[in-house]
Amino acid sequence: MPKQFKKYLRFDGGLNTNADPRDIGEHELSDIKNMMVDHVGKIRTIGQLGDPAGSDWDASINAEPGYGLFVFGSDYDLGSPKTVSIVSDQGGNAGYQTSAAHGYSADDLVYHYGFSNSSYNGAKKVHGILSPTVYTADDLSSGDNDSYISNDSGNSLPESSISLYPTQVLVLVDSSTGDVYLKLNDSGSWANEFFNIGSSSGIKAVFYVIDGALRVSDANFGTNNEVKWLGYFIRRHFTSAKGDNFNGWFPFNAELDAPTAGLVALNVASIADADATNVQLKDDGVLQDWSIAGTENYVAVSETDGQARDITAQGAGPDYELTTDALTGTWASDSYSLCPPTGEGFNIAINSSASTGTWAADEIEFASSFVYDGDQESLLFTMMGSFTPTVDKAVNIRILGTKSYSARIKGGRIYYRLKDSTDEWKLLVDIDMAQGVRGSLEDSYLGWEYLGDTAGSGDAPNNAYFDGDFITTYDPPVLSYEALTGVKQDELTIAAKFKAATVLNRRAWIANIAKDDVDGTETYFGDRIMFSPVNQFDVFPASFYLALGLNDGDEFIALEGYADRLFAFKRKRLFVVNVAQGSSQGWFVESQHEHLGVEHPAAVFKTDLGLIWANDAGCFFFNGSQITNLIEKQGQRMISYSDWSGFITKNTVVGFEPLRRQIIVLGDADGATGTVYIFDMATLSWAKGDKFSQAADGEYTNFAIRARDAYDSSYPTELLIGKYTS
Amino acid sequence: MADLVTLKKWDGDSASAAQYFTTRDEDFGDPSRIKRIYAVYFSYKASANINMNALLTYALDGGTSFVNTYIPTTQLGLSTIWAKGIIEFSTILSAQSIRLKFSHPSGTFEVNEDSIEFRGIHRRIA
Repeated sequence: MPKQFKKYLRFDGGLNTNADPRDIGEHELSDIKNMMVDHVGKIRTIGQLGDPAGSDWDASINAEPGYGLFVFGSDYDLGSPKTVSIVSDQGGNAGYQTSAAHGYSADDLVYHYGFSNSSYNGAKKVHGILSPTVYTADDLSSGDNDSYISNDSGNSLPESSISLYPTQVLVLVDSSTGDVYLKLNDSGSWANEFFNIGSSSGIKAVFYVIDGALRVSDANFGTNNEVKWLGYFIRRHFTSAKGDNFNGWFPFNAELDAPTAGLVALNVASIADADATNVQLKDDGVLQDWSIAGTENYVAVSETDGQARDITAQGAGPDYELTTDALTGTWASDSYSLCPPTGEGFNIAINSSASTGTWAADEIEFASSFVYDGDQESLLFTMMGSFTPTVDKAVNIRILGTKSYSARIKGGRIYYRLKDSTDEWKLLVDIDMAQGVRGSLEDSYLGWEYLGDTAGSGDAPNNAYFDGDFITTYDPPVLSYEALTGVKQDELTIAAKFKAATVLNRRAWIANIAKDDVDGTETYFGDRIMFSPVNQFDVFPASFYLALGLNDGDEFIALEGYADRLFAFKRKRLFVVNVAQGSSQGWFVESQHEHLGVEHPAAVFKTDLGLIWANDAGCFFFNGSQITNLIEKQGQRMISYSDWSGFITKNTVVGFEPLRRQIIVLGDADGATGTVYIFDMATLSWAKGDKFSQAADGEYTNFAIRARDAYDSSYPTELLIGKYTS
Repeated sequence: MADLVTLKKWDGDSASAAQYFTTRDEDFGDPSRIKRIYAVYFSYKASANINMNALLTYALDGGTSFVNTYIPTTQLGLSTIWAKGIIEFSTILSAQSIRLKFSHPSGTFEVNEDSIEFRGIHRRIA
């Protein structure tokens, strides 16, 4: 016989360890290490973990295997934070000192982060300018001046420094401290902890983002940890020059807090009868029993004297006199307005008009809500006090507010119903924090008015009081809270902690829930998926849920959405729910797959091509129409059972490199071997390597994709992962 | 003390690695006969020189132990373009089947194709 040549011209069949080496195809490989076949016709050395474009990628934080990293796009960057040191005690107040001129003016809003003492962190308002490099500040939420505690240092983010500039925001969460670190492409090192999700350690951070706003939850349900929200505002509260102008990143609890204060009076602003003692305010027949104990911080404001005083007590009927902090000047015969505590709600002043209307002479009560970003509305707070209209007359309503409110609050609403009834709450006043107030959603707003320069004392702040012009409502409105929000008016809570989340079809979906029950005890629902109303991504009413696989010895681990389908992963089972219909009535479980669940949320990865996930049964791909097990080719397994099952662990994480179209499966994010299987979507072949190996206690976070920077080509699309040694 | 988390990217460009790949166990379509195996030809790129007997090992007749017996120690030079690699066995191998293992201990390495020079003989396997 003549000599012959057996030629192997291609290797793109990739690894096949399932069939005997003698039975595999000519273009397949019986073993491979650190080489890959991403080109037809050749085999080459595998890639490696490298440094991302940019610099300063180290962060001294704790992490949990497979958790903690997230990337999202935003139209706003972080601006230029100023480094601040507290080195001086300014008469008990903290003196914030900058290395160069801070350029601040009194009442500028700034955001502080990175201070060791948490009281120095958060949204602040510049109080006093002590020098070009030293200022004092009030805490925006409490209104209190930041007192000096100790020397410290951190960052001050001025509102004016933030510019419109689309970018990618990288997020790392410290699993021990709950500190959340941010980094942008061009922001240098990781910003000091920008905000905190709570102090209970062992945090397994899970995220979802929509419309540029991030939510972070602890999948470990740490006792002291909360679901947090981070977003960017350009928002004005009260159009007067004395209002607040928010322009920057602000973190908040994701929960939409309802007002916690608010009372109803007759037209308190017309009261003109103060006691000669100057500390007793009254107006016969106008003041009601609001049960003010003195700790609520309601404020009496005299526009005539330009004074504001905290109400410290309320007397008994029939006069229900109000006691205030010591007054300056004489308020006798002055008008005063009753304003709510700083940022906690709204007061209303109401009386019957001389104009004809259709109101009945039935005593009515009132409730208020806050309206947040995305027109999400809080639950209702029942206000103190009531009112009985004059029959067949219109009513006049005036809204009073005390700044500063949370930057996240966009507005509010006032509802009414028959007193002590279970009737539906119906909309009476719609409040916009910038534009003013209106009697219905169709009316034009009547603007805010500044109650004038007022000198406060104690808990009554200076220059903080606003009211809306009178609204006259001729007929009792009929639009209910439930019709407006889709939320029942007697919901206990619309907030929930979660272990898995995604956004699909303009709804937020969360699974494996912790939610307060009727007595405030946190109750767990491992088999429950909750969904938000459309466009209300922080609202999870109790009745908005799917229960799949109840009491089946399993729990939800991950959620992802693709092509109108919700993929709900338990540890062992996968539910595919078709949610294409706008109403939940049209949703249905399209399929249920045993043994297609995942052990770790990071074992699921969403790509532009579809969903990818890995477990001990394989590596699966949903392309929008069908699920394929990628370790099988034409019905034949490519990776042997023993190889694959020995590779997959409870900490398996999956990523996708979108430019090369490669799936990376890291077998153990909590192991030293660093074995990865790589699937090339072009050649449909597997390769294997150990390029993630590190020291014996080496660990990894989850994968995340940083998309190409739209404005700076030096930051290309990259698949990122955090590497650390514990 | 906190961990030091360092962000990394997956870089798909070839990087230095200890690497190998193993072909199928080739019986040349005739499992019942013995074959004489003379040489292995291949095209390669490599970032470092390597001896032939380090680059190529083989296992015969379905074995799992790869050896470099009869492979010269001659050095194959590094190359950034496709270079010809020719490895002739110093003693002709006789086997029913052969499995090749290409290895490179470090640097980058590519193989475009390979072929085995053989002759079937009229001797059945025993």
